[in-house]
Amino acid sequence: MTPIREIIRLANLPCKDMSALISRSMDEDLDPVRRWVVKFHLCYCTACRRFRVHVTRLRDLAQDASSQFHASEAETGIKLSPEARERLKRSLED
Amino acid sequence: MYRFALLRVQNSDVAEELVQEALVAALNARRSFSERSSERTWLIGILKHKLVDHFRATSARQRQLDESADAVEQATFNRRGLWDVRLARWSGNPATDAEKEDFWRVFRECMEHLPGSMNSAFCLRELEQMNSEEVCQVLGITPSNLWTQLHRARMRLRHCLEENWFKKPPRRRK
Repeated sequence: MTPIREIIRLANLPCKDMSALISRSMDEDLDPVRRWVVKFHLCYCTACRRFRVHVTRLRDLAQDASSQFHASEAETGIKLSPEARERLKRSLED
Repeated sequence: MYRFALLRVQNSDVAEELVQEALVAALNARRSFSERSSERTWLIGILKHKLVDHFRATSARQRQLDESADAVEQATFNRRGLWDVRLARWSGNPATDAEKEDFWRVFRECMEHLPGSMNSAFCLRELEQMNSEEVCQVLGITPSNLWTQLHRARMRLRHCLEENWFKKPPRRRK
């Protein structure tokens, strides 16, 4: 496919494929053409703009979650059961 | 250590096993602890290695199961590839401590619903903040496969959080 046709094809990608590109842009630097088609699409597509906001927020939440689980048992309500503690203790004594 | 592991593997038995392996490894290597970091940091570092080993070991099996088109993705777009759902505005952060605890419970439950390969990819990339190349090496997958898994994980988590938290009025979020 010629470069021009490839650019036209990319520029006409439906939201399903565009959302995948938006997701991919969070994991690697897109080439200039793909970067441009995503920016162009986001100019007119409210839903995809909102999707980008959501996946960006998901990243922030995941990082918060990672630090949140350094929090205490009182803050999370999660703890090892007494039976699990006993099993761990026995395995370390062996 | 248990809470750290549980968020990443969503299975209490596996989390307990990983903590046990990490503590045994720490006991065997205690003479190598140089006190350049806190004990907690050192132990979590060992646990992270065990988690990576776990994801590496389970990845090969998971790869064979998750090759088909994703159900959530198929339900989100129409035949022309346009959004078939209305994406809500995600406004506000949990304000009170009670709301925060509820929110993290919902987040944890949403993570629990992620299929194995999506969960592994998402945990390594977003919780452990490994770069894409590192994640591919651990899981033994191509970059293309990784992007697919991450995209599907994000679509599922997005949908789950929206339905179970952001679309619900505050008093109905429990």
